[in-house]
Amino acid sequence: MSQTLIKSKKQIELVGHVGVEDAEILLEFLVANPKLKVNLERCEHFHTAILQVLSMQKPNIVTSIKDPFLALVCQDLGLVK
Amino acid sequence: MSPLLEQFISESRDLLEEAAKGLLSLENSPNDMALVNQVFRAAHTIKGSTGLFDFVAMGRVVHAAEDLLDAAKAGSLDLNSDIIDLLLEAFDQVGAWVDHVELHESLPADAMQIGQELANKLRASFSDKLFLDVDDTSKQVKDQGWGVWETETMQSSEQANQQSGWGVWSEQLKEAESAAHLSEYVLSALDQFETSKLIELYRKMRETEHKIWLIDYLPSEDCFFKGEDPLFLVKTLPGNQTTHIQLMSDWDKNVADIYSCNLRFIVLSDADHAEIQEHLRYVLDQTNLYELKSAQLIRLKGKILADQDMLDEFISQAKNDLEYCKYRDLQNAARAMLEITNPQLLTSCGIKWLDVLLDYNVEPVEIKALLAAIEQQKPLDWSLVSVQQELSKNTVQDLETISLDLNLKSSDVVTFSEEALALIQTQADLFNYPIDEQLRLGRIKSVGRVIENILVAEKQKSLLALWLEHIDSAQTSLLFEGLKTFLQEITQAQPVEEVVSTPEEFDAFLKIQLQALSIVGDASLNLGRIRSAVFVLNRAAAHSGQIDRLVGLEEVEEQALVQKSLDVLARWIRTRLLASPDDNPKVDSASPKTDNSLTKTKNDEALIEKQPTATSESQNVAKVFLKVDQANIERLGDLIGEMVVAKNTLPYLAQKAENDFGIRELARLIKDQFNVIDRITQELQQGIMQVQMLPVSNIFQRTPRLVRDISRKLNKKVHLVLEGEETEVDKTIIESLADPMVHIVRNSLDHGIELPEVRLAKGKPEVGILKLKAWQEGEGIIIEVSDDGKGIDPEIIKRKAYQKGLIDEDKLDNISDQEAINLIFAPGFSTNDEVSDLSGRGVGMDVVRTSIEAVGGNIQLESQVDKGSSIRLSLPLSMAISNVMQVMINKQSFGVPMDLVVETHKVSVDQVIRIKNKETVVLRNQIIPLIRMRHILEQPELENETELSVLVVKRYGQLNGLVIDEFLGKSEVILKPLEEPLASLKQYSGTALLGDGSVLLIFNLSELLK
Repeated sequence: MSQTLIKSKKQIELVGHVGVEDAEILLEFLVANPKLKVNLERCEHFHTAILQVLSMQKPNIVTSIKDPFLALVCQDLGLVK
Repeated sequence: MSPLLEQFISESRDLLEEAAKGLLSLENSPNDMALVNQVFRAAHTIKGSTGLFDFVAMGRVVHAAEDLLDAAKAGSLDLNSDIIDLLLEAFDQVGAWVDHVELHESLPADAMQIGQELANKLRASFSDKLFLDVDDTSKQVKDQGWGVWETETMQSSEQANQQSGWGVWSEQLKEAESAAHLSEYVLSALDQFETSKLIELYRKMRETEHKIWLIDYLPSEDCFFKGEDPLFLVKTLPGNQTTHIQLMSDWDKNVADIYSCNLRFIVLSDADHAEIQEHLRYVLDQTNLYELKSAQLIRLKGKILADQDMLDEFISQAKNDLEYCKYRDLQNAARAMLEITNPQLLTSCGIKWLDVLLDYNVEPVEIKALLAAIEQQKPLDWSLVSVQQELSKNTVQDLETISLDLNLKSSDVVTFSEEALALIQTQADLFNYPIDEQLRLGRIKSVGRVIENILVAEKQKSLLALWLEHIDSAQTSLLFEGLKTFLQEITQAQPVEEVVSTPEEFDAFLKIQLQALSIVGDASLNLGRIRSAVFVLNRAAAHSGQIDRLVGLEEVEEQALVQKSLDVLARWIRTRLLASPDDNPKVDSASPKTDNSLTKTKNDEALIEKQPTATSESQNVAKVFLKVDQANIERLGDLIGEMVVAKNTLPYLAQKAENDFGIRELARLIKDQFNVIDRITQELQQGIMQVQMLPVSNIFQRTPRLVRDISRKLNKKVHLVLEGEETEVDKTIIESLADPMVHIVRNSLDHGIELPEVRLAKGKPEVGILKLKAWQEGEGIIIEVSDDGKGIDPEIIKRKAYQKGLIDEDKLDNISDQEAINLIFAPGFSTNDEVSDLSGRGVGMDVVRTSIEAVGGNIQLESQVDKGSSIRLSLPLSMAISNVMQVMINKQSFGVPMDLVVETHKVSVDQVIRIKNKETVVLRNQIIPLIRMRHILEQPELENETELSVLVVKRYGQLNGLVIDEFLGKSEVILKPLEEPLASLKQYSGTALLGDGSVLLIFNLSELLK
């Protein structure tokens, strides 16, 4: 488990700068457990590939997103309401 | 390729060769001023020609070379080998460009850079030794067009960009300048952004100088493997205002690859263009950048309202407010409306925008378009706004900069902006085209709408009301006439002069009319079309001062009306076009001769030729032309020349048969045969001469552009008249005339024709007349260049010549006016102190005279102060065959060109009078100085002579008596120039082979009698 992806039972938290190497791991988690929630509160940036995973799997994204750009992007792609 | 360009190429090559030859000789004798002059002249002439074709880089290089040589001429620079190397390099480069021009008709893309470097190098080599003529260089910058240089550098940097993948970028940038090129796809991406954000950006654009860029970034699929993170790139993009991300294709969870980028980014940024470029430098090939216009931000989106009643009421009130420019009321109404409208509706979005727009000085047409969109609950109709954009021409990003002074503009005076007028006229013209019955309503509606918009934009309220009435009635009657008259009436108040004010524009106008008339239409409309064409023609002619060109229009109109034929009028207009002042007025429409004229483009010719001309049936007889290599013709000419010489041996043979062999009968037979061969060779000669004849239009066609450019540069108004362009003369003479003609024309414009103010003050018409006329006279042709300028003041010339040491005090007092005027032909004479790049750069009239004489012609100048000057070139039709007078001097025969010979005389020694140590003789009451040819040729003088053989020749208007031993008679010879190493013998203009095989040296009297 990398330091940027922190998985608990119900959610997976993205922390700091989440790189391209985490995309596959994230995808595996989300495929294995589609109900897994994603927490972006402490995320400063994620790689484009992560965004692709999120937009493909459309997980439930919890809590507010601090980074305004990520918030905008997620909203634009319809990942958050 | 135009014949002019072809000529430029071949001439430039000759000149370059001459320059190179001169430079090589200069290396051995660096102080030979004649050689420096030769190279200088070559550079000077090339420079002049480059101006004709806008070969700026080339011009710059030769200009620098010319200045360098100027410095050398002035003695302030030593032409060492290094400098000669440099000059050779420069000329080689010019040669390479000439080759390129031959293939592509343009200079290579890197020419500007290379040219500038070369010019700098050339200038550097002498500027430290010589003062830098600041005026001259700054002038050069101006003349040679900094502008062009800038565009060229732009082009070349663009080319460099293309190589590094920046090309797409700059191309898109260019495209982005026009709204039409911004794809709807990209624009619709704007719908994804919050209206509030767009409004914020709109206000920013309106209130500040900020530009808003739309970046369309489509990362390549494999970009992740290149270590790219598009999202990060976008996040950190300078000035990122908002971002929209699109999926390129929907995710298919079974096959999707998250490592293949499936996203497209649309970003709005207000950062600097350069900053954005820098940021995206690695992905520029995946990026398009557009500059947005403020109006493009206005996007209407939202739900459609079903119940329109309230909206309709608002809209009709709004339109009313708009029409009466009650913008405050409109804004208040919009705000009130906004409060009671569901924010999710498209109308709400539109009214929001309306509110915003009313905060700024937006053109009413834009608001109108917005209202229409709100009314129809549809996205904004850009075609309405584009009308607006056409109206304000420079609208690239200027919608916001249009100032709107309501008070000033809302007056009822019928004045239209130039653009509006043009638009109205185009619209009115639409009614002239025939149309299907079913489509009539559509046309009425579309024209109605456009005019409506124009009237709104032009704040012509009362006209607008009238117009709408007209449109209403037209929609029921489906008749165009009323609308047409209306449009004609409202535009009549407006002078056409903005559109047509110069002869060139009048020509263009005629062509447009011709085009309009060539459209085949319903015959019943012909009367109206004829009348309206005549009407506009008259008006345009009046405004461009070309009314004299429409003499006879009335009769033609009548005729056309009677016959109901557009053709009658069209044909007549065509003759007017052909008889435009730049062309030969003698040539009528049936003659194809004027086709060479530079003033017409190919399209125009096509237009003119497309029209069937009743008078040109004879033209329809197909002529077959053969394209033959010039060298073949020349070879044929040479052979015929040899034939002439061979033929001439027959009389000798006959003489020999009679005298040496005593066979009189044979001699007679040979003589008979000689006559037959003589006749045939004469015909052959004439034939080959004919083949090599070219019309002088080849030289004349350079002048219109020359005159235009120079007169503009000098702020002079000049009307050029060309006459007798069809006169034919030998090709070699045409070629040799090119430079002298340019000089003469330049001189006339520069020194002859005065500035308009000066002319008016002198009571002359403002526009000066420069006339080029050619005609055949006897065995030769005359070309006359005359102007009605200030003429040449003999007093000034005298003083100048005295100052320059060309004449002594004695002569200063005695010289006649005509002689004084002729002093301008003296070597080293130039009246203008200032060195301009037009004329008077030391390449003076002496050079002109030398080159005219080199082809066996002569030049005469007449001038009257304030009446004008006229320069007359008399030239032989052909150089191939020359008539010479054979004379004997100390047992050797020489030739004297026949055209110089006045008479032959036998004078007794007693008649010789000595005046001041000089021998003279009085013939027909004229004192003729005698020149002893034996003395000149350094031959021993004859002793105990009682009678002198005097050959009287006329040179520059002066008679001289050449004392020779014996006259031998006249003969026709083929003159061959002396070849190296004899070419330096200036006393002879060439040699000729005589029938008996002997060689005849032909005197060059100008040199000999210096």
